[in-house]
Amino acid sequence: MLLNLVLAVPIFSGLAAYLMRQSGAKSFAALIASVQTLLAIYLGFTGYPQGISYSVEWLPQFGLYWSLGLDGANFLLVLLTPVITWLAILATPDDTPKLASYVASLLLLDGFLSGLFLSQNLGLFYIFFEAMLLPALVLIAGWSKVDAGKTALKFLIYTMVGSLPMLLAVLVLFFTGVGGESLEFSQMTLDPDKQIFLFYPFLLAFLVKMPIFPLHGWLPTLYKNAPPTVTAVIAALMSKAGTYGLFKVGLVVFPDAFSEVSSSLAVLAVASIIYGALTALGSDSVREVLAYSSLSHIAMIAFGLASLTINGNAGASLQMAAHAVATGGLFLVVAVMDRRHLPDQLRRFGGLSKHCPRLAVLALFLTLASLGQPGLGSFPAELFILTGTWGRFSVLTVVAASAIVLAAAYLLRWYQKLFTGPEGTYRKPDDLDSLESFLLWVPIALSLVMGFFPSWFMVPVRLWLEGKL
Amino acid sequence: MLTIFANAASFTPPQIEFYDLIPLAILGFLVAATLCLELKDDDSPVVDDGEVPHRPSVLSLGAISLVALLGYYLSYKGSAVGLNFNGMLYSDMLARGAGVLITLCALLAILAGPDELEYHRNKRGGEFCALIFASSLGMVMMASAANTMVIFLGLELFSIALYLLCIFFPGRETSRESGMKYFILSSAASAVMLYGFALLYGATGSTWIYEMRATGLADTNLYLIGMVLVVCGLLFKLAVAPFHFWAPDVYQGAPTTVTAYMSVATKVAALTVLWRIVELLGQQGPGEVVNLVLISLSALSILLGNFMALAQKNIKRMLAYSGVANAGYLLIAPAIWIDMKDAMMLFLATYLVANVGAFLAVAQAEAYCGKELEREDLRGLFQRQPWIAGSLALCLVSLTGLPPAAGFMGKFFLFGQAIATGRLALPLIGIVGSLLGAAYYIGTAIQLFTAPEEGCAESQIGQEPSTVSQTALGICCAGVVVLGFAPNLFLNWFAGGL
Repeated sequence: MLLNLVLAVPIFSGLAAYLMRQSGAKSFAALIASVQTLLAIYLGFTGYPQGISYSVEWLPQFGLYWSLGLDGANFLLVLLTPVITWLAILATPDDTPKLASYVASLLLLDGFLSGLFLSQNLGLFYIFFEAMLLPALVLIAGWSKVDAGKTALKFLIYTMVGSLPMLLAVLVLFFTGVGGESLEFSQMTLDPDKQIFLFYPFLLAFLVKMPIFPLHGWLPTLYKNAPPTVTAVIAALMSKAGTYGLFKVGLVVFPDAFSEVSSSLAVLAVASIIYGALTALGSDSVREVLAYSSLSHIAMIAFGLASLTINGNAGASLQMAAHAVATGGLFLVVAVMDRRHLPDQLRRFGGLSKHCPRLAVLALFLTLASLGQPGLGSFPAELFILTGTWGRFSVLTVVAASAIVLAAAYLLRWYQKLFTGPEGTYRKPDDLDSLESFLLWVPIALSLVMGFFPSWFMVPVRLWLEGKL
Repeated sequence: MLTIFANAASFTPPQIEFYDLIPLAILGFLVAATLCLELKDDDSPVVDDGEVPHRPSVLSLGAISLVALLGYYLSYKGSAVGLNFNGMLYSDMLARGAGVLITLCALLAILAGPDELEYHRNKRGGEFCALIFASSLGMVMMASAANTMVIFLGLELFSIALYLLCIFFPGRETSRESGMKYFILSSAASAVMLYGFALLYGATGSTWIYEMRATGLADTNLYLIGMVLVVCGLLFKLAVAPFHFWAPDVYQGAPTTVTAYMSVATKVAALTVLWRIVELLGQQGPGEVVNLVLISLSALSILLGNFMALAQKNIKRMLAYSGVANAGYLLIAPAIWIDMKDAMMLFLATYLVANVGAFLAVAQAEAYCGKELEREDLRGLFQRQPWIAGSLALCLVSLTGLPPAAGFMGKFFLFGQAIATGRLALPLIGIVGSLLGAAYYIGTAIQLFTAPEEGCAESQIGQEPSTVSQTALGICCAGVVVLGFAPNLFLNWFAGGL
C-alpha cells in the first residue's frame, strides 16, 4: 500500500499545485518531495535487501495490472528520485514566472518517474515511460530561455521515434500471447528465438532516452536551453529511464536477445564514451561540457550492462545512482550560476573562485565526484563496471578506462576555465547563501556515502541479479 | 363482413418493444418542442448593436432530456429482441453504443453552442438546438436501422440538418462556403449510396440489410457494385481518404461547435452501419473486395491525414485532417475479420471526448482571441487562460494517444485486437501515423505553454467562456481522464450493461 503513496503523493500534490498561489507553491512542493523522500527511505529500510511488492488487478483484458515493487534493480533510483526533485525545487529561483506551474510540473515528473522505476508490469512501465514526457515537455516549452518550442519539439520527436515502436512490441507481446498471459514482469516467458525482433524496439527506445551516440541529437539543445533545474532532473533521473529500462526489461523479459546484442551494444557504448569525452573536451559552453560528459558517463553505464556479468551490472546499477547525484549536483552548480546571470561561454570566465570561494569548493567536490575520484560514488561504480567488462571485452575495457583519463581532462579543464586563472568578463557575482551551499552539500554527502560504503548499496542489486546472469 | 373478421383473427400485430423506442421519441419530441417554442418570425439573424443575444430557453429542457437519455442508455441491460419495429430497427448493443455517443455529442454541442452564437452576435439559438436535435435523431435512427430505407431516411435527416448548421453564420463567407460545399458533395454521396441500395434491392430482392446475403444470387456483380457504392457513400460520411476533400473546408467554415459535433457524431452513425454491412458480407466473394478497399483506404487515410495535418497552419483545418487520420484508425476495425466491435466503440468513445473537447476549447479560444486561430496564435495561451489551454492540451495529448489520457487506451485496445489476428500491417501504419500525429498535436500543445511573444495572447481581453460551455469542456476532460484510467467501465457496459 505504501508503495502507491510514493507516486500518488507527488502526482496528486503536483496536480493540486497547479492551482496554488505562486508564493506558497514552492514550499509546498518542497515539503511534498521531502515527505516522499521519507516514505521512500522508510520503504527502502523495511524492504532491505530483498524488496517489497504490491499488485492489484487493473485492466486484465489489456494485460495491465497495477503492480509496483521495490527490488534490487530500482532500490537506489526510487530513493534518489524524490531527493533530486527536492533539490531542484529548492534551487528554483523565486522570481521564476508562473512558479506554481513550474514546481507542479516538477512534482508530476517526479511522480511519473517514481512510477516508472517501481512498476513491475511492462504495460505500466510503458505508460509511465510515455507519461513522464508530458511534464518534461511543459517544463521545457514553458521555461526555456531561447527556442523553447523547437527544443521541446525536437526532444518529443526523438523520444517518440524511440518509444512508439516499443508500444507496438508491447502490443505484440500481450495480444498475440507471445509474452504469456499478462504483461507482468514476473510472469513473462519468451521463446528465445522470438525475442530478438521484439527486443530491438525496446533497445531503440532506451538508447534514445539515455541517449547514446548516434541517437543523442536532442541532448545538446535541450541541456543548453532548458532551465538548469529542469536539466538537473532530466540528466540525473530521466536519462536513467533508459539505462534502467535496459537493465530491467533487458534482463527480465529478453535475456537471450540481450546477450545476443550485448557485443554490438558494448561497441556502441564505448564509441559513445569516447565521442562524448572528445566533444566535451572541445566545447566552449558551460552546459555543453556537462551535457557531453553526461552522455559519456551514461554510455559507461550501458557498457557495464552489456557485460552481462554480476560485477558489471551491479556496478552499472550503482553508477546510475552515482551519476544521478554527481550530474544532478553539477547542474545545480549551473543553476546557482544562472541565478547570478553568468554567461554560458567558457572563454568569458575565469577567476570565479575569488568572488565565490564556497561555490568553488563545492563545485570542485562535485567535479571530482563526476570524474570518479576514489572516496566518491563514481569510483567504486566504475571500478566494478570495468572489472565486470574485462572478462568479456578486454580491448574495449582498455579503451573505456582510458576515457576516464579523458573525463578527468575535460572536467578539470571545465573547472579550471570557470574558477581559476585571470578574471574573465562577467558581472561580479555574490557568493552562495546558506541555502545554496546546503543544496550543493546534499549531493556531495550522498556521493561520499556511496563512495565509502558501496557494498551496502550493492547488496540488493547483487541479490536481485542472482539467477538472472 | 365475415371475411374481414377472419382476416383480423389471422392478423398478428408487429412486435414492438416501446421501451426501445424511447431514444427516438425523446429526440423527436425535442425537435418538435424546440421548433414550437423557439421559432421566430424575424429577418435578421444578428442582434443589434449593444444587445446581447439571449440564451435559448429550451436549453435546460434539452440538456435535461439528453442527460435523461444518457441515463436510459447507461442503465440498459440488454434487450431480448435484437430486432424491433417489424424488423426495421436493431436494438442491440451496437445501436446502444452509437446512441450513447451521439447523445453525448448532442449534449456537448447544445451546452457549448450558445457561447459561440453570442460571440458571433447571432440570436438563432433556438434553431441551433432544434437542428442539433434533428440531426441526432437522424443519426440515432441510422445507427439502429436494419432496413436500407430507414438508413437512408436517417442519413438524409441528419445531413439536411447539418447543411443548415454549417451555414449557420450566413454573414461569413467561410460559413457559406462550408454549407454549400457540404450540401453539394454530400448530396452526391447520398445519391451514390441510394443507387447502391437500389442495385442491392435489384440483386437480392430485399431492403432488409440482414437479408442481403450474397449466397445463392444469380448476379453477384450487381450485388458487388451495389455494395461498393454503399460503402463509398458511408466512407464519404466518415471522411476517409480519398473521399475527404470536403472535410477541411467544411470543418473550417462551419461554426466550431458544429464542427465538434459533426466530426464525431457523423462518424459514429456511418461506422455503425459500415460495421453491420461488413458483418453481413463475411469473408468470401464480394466481402473480400470490400475488405481490400477498407484495408487500403484505412492505410491511405492514416498516412494522408497525418501528413496533411502536419502541414496545416489553421488549427481547425489541422483538426479536420486529424479527423481523416482518425477515420483511418477507426477503419482498422471493420477491415479486420474478427469481432472488434468493442475496440471500435472504445476508440470512438475516446475519440469523442478528446476531439469534441479539442474543438470546444478552440471555440472558446476563438471567442477569447476574437479571430480565427492559426496554430501560432495559441502561443502563451496557458498564461492567459489556463483552463482553456490546459483542457486543449489534455485533449491533444489524448488524440496523440499518449498515456495516461483516454486516447492511449483506445489505440492500445484497437491496435492490440488487430495484432491479435496476426495482421501487423495496419497497426504498424497506425503507429507511424501516431508518430506524425505527435508532431502536430503535441507541437500545438507545446505552443500553448511557451512564453507569449506575439499573437492573440497579447491582444485585448475577449469573451470569457460561460459556465455552461466550461461545463461542456469539463465533461470532455473528465471523460479523457476517466476513460484513460478505467476504459473497462465503458467496455463492461458495452458487453452487457453496467
